[in-house]
Amino acid sequence: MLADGTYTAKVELDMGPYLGKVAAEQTVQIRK
Amino acid sequence: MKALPDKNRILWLLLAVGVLSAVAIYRIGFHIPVPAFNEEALKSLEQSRSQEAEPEPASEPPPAADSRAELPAEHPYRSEHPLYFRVAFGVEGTDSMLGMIDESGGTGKGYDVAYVDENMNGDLTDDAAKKFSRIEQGSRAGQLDRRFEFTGPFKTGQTAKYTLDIYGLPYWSHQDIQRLGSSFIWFLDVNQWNYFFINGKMTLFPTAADALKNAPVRLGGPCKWDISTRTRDGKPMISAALKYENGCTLRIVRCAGQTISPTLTLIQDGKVKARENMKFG
Repeated sequence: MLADGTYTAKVELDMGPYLGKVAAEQTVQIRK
Repeated sequence: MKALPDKNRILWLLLAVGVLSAVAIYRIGFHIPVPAFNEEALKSLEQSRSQEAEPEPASEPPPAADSRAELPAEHPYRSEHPLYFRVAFGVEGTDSMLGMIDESGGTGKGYDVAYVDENMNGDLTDDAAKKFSRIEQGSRAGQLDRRFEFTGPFKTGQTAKYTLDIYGLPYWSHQDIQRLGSSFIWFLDVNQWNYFFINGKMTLFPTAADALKNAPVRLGGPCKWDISTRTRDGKPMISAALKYENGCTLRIVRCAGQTISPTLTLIQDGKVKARENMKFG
């Protein structure tokens, strides 16, 4: 279980011949 | 004195009968057509000879396959209100082509056929018709599907199969379609990869000129992740959507039949706290 707090969320996806590897990072707040 | 001329006449008459009989026997015996009664045969003979006399130059290439073979014999547009759109392809979006939706049954009968300028020569009349497929599923049997497939540019020197699915198109009037715009989903198939995008919105225009002067619908293009968090049943949820400019969102991507999942990594204070595959949906 993740603790409340600020995290960097990194998302990656291999889009193959269309766009190659697509990645992004974003700061997210997690509060339960 | 009178007997001699009569005798000569009889001789001349016999001679004439003999000549005519000889001609008749010759014609019948050797089956030579008499021109006055075989003009058609002679004409056909002349035609065949003239065709033999003028063969096509050997240096000319064989004629290309006629892509209009699937079009109706008359002018292909049957609706009084054909609807036009323009699509741009790929990340650069430099290539675009015109498309047109028609009612093959006539005005008011429903839009069920599309023409797309696949050869990109600016002429819709030399492209094959894309008939919307018919659904045969239970109570929906016989209804028209709203999707059609065509080939379009993908990357430099490459083409791909595109499938455009326009909501409600076979059933709406042209006024409704133009007033409301039309939602669409689309598929891209290239090599072993399959992509499915949802939530597209497009405008269909009453003239080709309108479609050409307005912004095209983008199929493909640079995407951006949209990451957000929310809480559900006391649990934090992180969602991510890959979107591009006209609102299209990636719904699924597959390679060789296998779904490719995005990976989510959560980092805090430089340390990886969690990593897992996300699910589409």
